Amino acid sequence: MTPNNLQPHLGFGLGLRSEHYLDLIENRHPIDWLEILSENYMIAGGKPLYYLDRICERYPVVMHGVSLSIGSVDSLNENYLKDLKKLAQRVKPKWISDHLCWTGTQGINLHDLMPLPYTEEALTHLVTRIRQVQDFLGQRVLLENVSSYLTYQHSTISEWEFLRAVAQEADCLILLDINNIHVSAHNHDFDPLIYLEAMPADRIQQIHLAGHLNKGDYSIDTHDHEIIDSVWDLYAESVRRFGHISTMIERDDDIPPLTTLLTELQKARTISAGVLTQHQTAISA
Amino acid sequence: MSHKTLAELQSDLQDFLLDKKRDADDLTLETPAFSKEARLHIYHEAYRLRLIDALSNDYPALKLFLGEDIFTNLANEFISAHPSHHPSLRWFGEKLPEFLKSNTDWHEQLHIVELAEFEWAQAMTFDAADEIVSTLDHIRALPPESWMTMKLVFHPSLQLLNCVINAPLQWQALIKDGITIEPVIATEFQTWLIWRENLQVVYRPLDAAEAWALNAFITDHNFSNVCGGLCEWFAEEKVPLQTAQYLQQWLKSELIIGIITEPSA
Repeated sequence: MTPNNLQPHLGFGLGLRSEHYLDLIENRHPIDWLEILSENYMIAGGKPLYYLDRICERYPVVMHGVSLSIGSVDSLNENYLKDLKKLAQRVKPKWISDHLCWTGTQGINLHDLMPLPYTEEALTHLVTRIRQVQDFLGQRVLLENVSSYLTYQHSTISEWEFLRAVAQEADCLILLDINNIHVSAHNHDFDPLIYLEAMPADRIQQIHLAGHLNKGDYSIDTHDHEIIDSVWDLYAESVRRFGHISTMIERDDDIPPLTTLLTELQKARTISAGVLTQHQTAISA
Repeated sequence: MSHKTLAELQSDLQDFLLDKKRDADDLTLETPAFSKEARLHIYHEAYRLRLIDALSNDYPALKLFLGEDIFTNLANEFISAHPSHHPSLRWFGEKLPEFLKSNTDWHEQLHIVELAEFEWAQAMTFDAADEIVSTLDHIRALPPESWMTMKLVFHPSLQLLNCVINAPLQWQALIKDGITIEPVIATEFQTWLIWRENLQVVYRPLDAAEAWALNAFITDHNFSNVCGGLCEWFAEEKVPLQTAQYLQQWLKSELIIGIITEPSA
């Protein structure tokens, strides 16, 4: 079911966290692949790179960055791109991703995934830069939808229309974060199914699942909680629409033991298998 | 609604987060349940919390020593003075020791400055470049006539820190024992060697002679020069053996990555 222009389906993975290095190396776990945070390994040497090399011998790995700042009006950071490429040469990742956002301007890094206004100017700006990055890296990149809290007055189209247009015009791929759609839908009062409906199936390479904090009037993307039922439901809907998509759970804080995350990962497998079985049954009937 | 270019919009929002602008209400829409102020506040708060968290990771003993409130105040002062310019949070805390030294509220508190210097030195050692280390076999294979002109290349993780306060002991008490010990001001500085051995960051104090010898090798002096200098501490006939013992210890500690000898005439 994988569209021709996508990498093969990797299965079900986790974000690599230092708390789990030894467990992942010394024991066999039902984890099909791992996602590393690129910036954590854009260093000269020492323990992180030592463990990374061991991990790469055992698992397929993808690279996920937070500082590409693809939407910033600053020039692309050439040193950052060189370091990213150098790491990719070491890791040989299945793919490289970052976020549809900006992280600072005038040389400053805010270390946050700041949302973009969904305008023609931003679209043109992004498409040019994504093509430059892809040319430099020699491969297509994935861009992830971020959770957001601002609803820019200046946006002229919706986030999903913007993401779709960016992917198509820049010929890049999409890392669809289901939790981020859920969080942003709450914060901006839209129907998450409309978002999914607009996504181009032939460009969705990967799915992120994560937990968040519901504050009642709004939600905050914390990545330190278990995945809630409505995000699981949205995941099931994504599988129904897009089929087999490499799926991983992203946990950034309050890192639990690996077994806890494996239980959540098994739930993703079960949901995906259930949906796909239903789909096959419906086709056969 | 005023039109803003992408550059203006990013600049306005960033200025708000950096407290250069009091509000950015003209950037966002709101709903009855989720006001403009609340939306902007999430980003404003997250910006500082993330950077404070990065400093907490790099300076855990400093945070324990100062306590949560004072550390947070210090972190906020630092964040205002030194916004991040690097793609990785790994480097955000680099200038904190320098900030403490140059800040009138802190520079006289030498124990705070040195604790921060010691923690940053450990951070630099932790992920310094990997190199293949030299072994005793390398040095045993040297022809005797090469010894006097021998120079050494050291592992990039090696750092020397001169402390007037017992900062490394304070660090150890805070992190490993969970207690605070009194800062002790010495009459002369103590050199501490910080390096990486078997992937672990380790450290030990050096006596004056070893500190001098190590510094001399680092600054490109050869075995003969170092032996000459060590006569200040040891009887001349004992110096070559003492220097060889230093070499042996440094090799065992994975500190040496190259032994350079002059080609035979």
